[in-house]
Formats: sequence, structure tokens, C-alpha cells
Amino acid sequence: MKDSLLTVEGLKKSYGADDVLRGISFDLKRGETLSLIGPSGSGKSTCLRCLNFLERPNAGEIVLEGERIGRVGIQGGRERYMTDRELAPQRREIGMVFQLFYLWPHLNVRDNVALASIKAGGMSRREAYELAEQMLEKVHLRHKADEFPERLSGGQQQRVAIARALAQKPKLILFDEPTSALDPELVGEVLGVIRELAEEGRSMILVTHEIRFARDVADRVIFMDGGHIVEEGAAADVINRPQMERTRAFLGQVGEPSGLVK
Amino acid sequence: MNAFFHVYRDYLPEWWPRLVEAARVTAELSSLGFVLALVLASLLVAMVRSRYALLRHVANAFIQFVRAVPLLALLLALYFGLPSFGVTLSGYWAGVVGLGLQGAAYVAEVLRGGLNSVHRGQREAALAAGLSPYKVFTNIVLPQAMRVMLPPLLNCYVSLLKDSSLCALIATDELMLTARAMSSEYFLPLHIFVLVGLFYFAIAFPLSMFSRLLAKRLSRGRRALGVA
Amino acid sequence: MPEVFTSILSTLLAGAVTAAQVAVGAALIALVLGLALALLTVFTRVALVRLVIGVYVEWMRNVPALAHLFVIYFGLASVGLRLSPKAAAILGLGLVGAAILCDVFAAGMRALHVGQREAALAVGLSPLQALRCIVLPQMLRLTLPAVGNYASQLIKDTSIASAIAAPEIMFYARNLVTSTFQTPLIYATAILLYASIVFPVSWAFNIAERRLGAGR
Repeated sequence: MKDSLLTVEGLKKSYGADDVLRGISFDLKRGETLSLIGPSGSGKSTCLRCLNFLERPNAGEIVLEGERIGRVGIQGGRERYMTDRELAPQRREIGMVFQLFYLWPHLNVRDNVALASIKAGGMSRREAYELAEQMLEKVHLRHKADEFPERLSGGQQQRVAIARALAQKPKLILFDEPTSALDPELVGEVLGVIRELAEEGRSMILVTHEIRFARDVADRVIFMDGGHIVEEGAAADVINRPQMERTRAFLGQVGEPSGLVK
Repeated sequence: MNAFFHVYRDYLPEWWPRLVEAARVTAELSSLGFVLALVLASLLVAMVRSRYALLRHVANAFIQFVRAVPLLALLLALYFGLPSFGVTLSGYWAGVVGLGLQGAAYVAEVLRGGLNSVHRGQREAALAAGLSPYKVFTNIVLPQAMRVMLPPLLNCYVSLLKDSSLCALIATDELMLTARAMSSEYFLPLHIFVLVGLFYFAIAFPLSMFSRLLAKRLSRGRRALGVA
Repeated sequence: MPEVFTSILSTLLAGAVTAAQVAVGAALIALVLGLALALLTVFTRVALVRLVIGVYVEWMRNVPALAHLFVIYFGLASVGLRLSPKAAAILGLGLVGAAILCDVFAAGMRALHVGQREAALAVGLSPLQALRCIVLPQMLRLTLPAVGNYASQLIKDTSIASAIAAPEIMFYARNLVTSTFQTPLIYATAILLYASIVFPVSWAFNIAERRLGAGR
């Protein structure tokens, strides 16, 4: 517990009568890659979006390196949610890559990556651009720095989005189904970059449908269903030798024969 | 504050019938202008889509020009200028013609947008099935175009209704002129003009709301069909 | 004939100056107030604020501009607030324009995918920074055609101010008619004058739209 980078405890989220998260607890060690898998509607994306408070959880604690995310105490021992303005510094510590990339179309690639460094990171334009180009180099897109997002393929846009998140120098990176919106032949280039980041020892949480990838690249896997954590453990263990019936059913449906060792 | 409303309580009985009659004239005037606009616009759209370059150019030039000119200038030119050419129109009819001409330019754009919104594949499929171009237009293209055109057409009508107020300046006995006359008779401009504003609002607002509702309903249907 | 034309034109041009002043003044009010109202109505969590703004916008848009001008010029004068015709015209047209632009800007902001703003917040920008760097630039590009339409319409609507004796083009035109009887020529000149102002303005907006890839 001591060298945990992130601790999540009792996370709950409902939309009206719909309980999407029913008490999720897990932790992430520094340098670990954790993958969340599960059927649609199991709450994986919601869980991720609660971590940087793009969704406000109804209950639960999120602690990043000893700092409580998203809530402040007020008079009388009670507490309230932070406003978006108060959340900004905390969100700097957490990088997020979205399924639909959400690159800003009116800025070129370099500005997309550098903007936050200038506006929220206090860097000068020169420093920010240098950092941006380094990050773009990391995702093998430095030569596209002057292009605008609409001229890039989906795979390239997502890699720029990854560079944008890296430029925050975050403690933790969240990936929300990063390849689900991509044409099949473009998936590989993005997974390749994510693999490189994992091998570098970054702390990452990856929500994905690419089960084989999760098994190969993640250290640990959590299988979620119906808002609960059904099973968790080392990636190879959970995916090759699932213990729970529901996990087996899910993996069977997705076409992963259980009992198969890599 | 109360004194403000007392005025209405005292004078409304006298004002009401005059204003209602004037509102009727406004509605009549606007509707005639709108009908004229529809007829002219249909002609313009036919010209714009014709094979003959000359017709296309004339129609486009007309539309561009009318859209660059204020309605008031048009109305004044029709009412005060035409007599020099032997044509004397009453304020009412100058109003109808002016509203019709300006309206035609905007309605033409709406009609064009509506017709263009129907995918050419629809027309091709109908022709391939053996329907004549006329039947294709009336059975396939027009019904679908209507769904797209109806809300903006309603909006055009509402615009025409508001613009009819300018006819007061060419001596047409409609709502705004009546208001002006009354405000000098009673020396109560604030009360009268606000009341007249309410009259316009009472006619225009329901129509605007209905147009918005219609637009939402119609776009939902199209999306469900996967057509939009 | 040509001298008559040039003398008419020079008289009307004096009116054009007033028309330009009214248009610029009203446009400023409309842009600033319209943007403020749009931001409020899109981002506020208080339903009452949206309701009040909604009532204002609907009232301004469903009642003719002429009525608004009369209320401001004659109506306010009767309770002691006497505005010059030009000021009343600027205020009236500005308030109406604010209602129109509020609708335009609010629609533009809503059309922007919510993910754009989310990505800005996720990367650590404050809501204000997200607004300035991400939401507003894109919204301005999207709404440029509609704003261009509004600008053309505004220039034409300055003619309405003649009804409250503002010394703009139509006002001079009508005075000229009573003194010189060259009615068709006068109105034709006035019409051409308006066209010669509106066409360049529309054209300028078209170029700006193409340059910025607007309307997407």
C-alpha cells in the first residue's frame, strides 16, 4: 500500500436510478500498467472518467500520491466537490486520452500539444514548443508538427492526443478505449506507442477491448461487470486462466480461449 | 407601478376593438404578401434550376439585388415613385407588392435548400422505376422537400408579419399606423406601443414556437430513417 | 441630368454617414451584449437566468424593430428620458441585435462537441482558459456566416430609423422628394447607395469565411 501511486476506494456513481458503479476499489503501483476490461455498460469508462473528475462520483475516495482528488473540506467537518477551476492543477497530474481523440481543429499539431504547457504549465512558448516536439518525436509524428488535425489519419490523430497528454508530464495516464474508433489497420500504430510507454515504466490505466494486447502489455488486469469488480490479478493469469464464471463467459465470447498459455 | 396598469384598465375597452381590427389588416396584408412571395419564389427557383444560363443569371441577379436593399426603400419607391410612371398603388397594395418582392428572395433560398436536401439517388431510383420527371417531382421530391422547408417557411411568414409594420410609413392602415395615431390622440406612447408590441408578440411567438417544434419533430424522423 | 444625380447623391451620402454610425454603434452593443447573454444562457446552472434571457430574446425577436424604436424614442420621452433619434436608433437596433446574436452564439457553442471542452479541462486548463482558447475561437468560426447575415441586415435596418427622424439615407430621401419632385431618381439612387454598401460587406464576410474554413 505504501508505494501505491493511486488508491481508489468505494467508488460509486449513479445516473438517476441507474447504478453504473457500485463500489469499486483498487490501487495502482508506480510504474504499473493496469487494464480494465469488461462488457459494454460495465462501468469501465465511467470509472476512468471519475478519476479525473470529468464525472463526479457519488461516493468514494480517490487518492493520488497522498493527495485527495476532487473534494475539499469545508466548515463543520463536511466537504464539497471542487469546481473545475480548482480541479485544474490536479488534472495536470493526470493525462487522459479519449476514444474520439478530441484534438482541437483550429490549432495545428504542435499547438495542440503545447497549449496546456503555456496556459496552465507556466512555460514560455519556446520551452513549450521544445517539449511538444520531443513528445511528438516519442509518438513518431514530429514531422507533422505544422499540420492541422483534419489532415491526419485517425491513428495519427490519436498519437498526437497521446503526445498532448505526455506533455503534461503527468504522474498517471488514462486511456479510454483509445483504439475503438479507429479503422483496423490503424490500430497497430497506436497500440505500438502504448506498448513503448508501458515498457518505459509509465503508470497507466488502460480501458480497452483489445484483450490480447491487454494480456501482453498490462501488468495487472481488472475484469468489471455490472458496476462491480469481478476478478483481478496478473494479466496473464486473469486472461489465460480466469477463475470466475463470468470472466470465462466474457472472454469466451470475445474469442479468447481460456487455458491457453502465451 | 400600479398607476402604469391603471391606464390599461381605463383605456383598454376603447383601444381593444381598434387594435384588433388593425391586427386583422396586418394579418391579411402579410398573408397576401406571403402568397405573392411563394408564387414569385417558385418561379425564381424554376429559373435558377433551368438549363438556360440567361434565366439562371437573371433570377440570381434579382435575388442578390433584392437582398441588398432595405424593405423600406422598396416600399417608398413603390408608393411614391411608381405614380411618376402612371401606376398608382394604394399603401395597402404597395405593401403587398413590396413584401412579396422581398419575401420572394428569401423564400426562394428556402425552396432551393429544401429541394437540394433530397438526395439525388431518390430521383434516380424513381426515374429508373419508370416514373415521368413530373411524377418524380410531385410524388418523390416535393413531399420530402416539404419536411425540410416547412419550418423555415413559417419563419419567413413571421418575418413578413414583422416587416408589415413598415407599411405604416406608406400610409397603410395596419397595426403600427393605428398605434401611431392612437399615441398622438391619447399622449400615451409608452403604453400604446408596448401594448401593440404584445399584439405582434401574441401572433408571432406561437408561430415561431410551432416552427421550432416542427423542425425538431421532422429531423427526428429523418434521422431514424437514416436519411439525414 | 448628371448634375441632378450628383446633387442627390451628395445629399444622400450625408445620410449614409449617419447610417454607418448607427450601424456601428448598434453592432457593438449587439456583439458585446449578445455574447454575454449567450455565455450566460449556455453555462449557467440557474434556470431563472435562462428564463429571463429567454423572455428577453423572444420579446425582442417577435416584436417588429419599428415598435422597439417607437417605445424607446416616444415611449421613454413620455416618462422623462429623452434620447436623440440617433441614440434611440443605436439602442433599439443594438438590443434587437443582441437578441439575435445571443441565439446565434448559443447555438454555435452548443454545436461544438462537448468533448472539445472536456479535453481542455482534462489537460489542466481552467474553465476560463478553455473558453478563451478552445470554445470561443471555434464558435466564432462556426457562426461567421450567421454574423455576416446579421451585419447585412443591420445595415438595411438603419433605414427604419428614418421613422424617428434620424438623419440617415431614407430620411434625406423623403425630404428631397418633397423639395425636388425627382421621386423615381431619388429612390433609385437611395436603393443603389444601399446596395453599394451591403454588397462589399457581404463579400468581405464571404472572403473571411473561406479563409477561415468557416461554418464547419
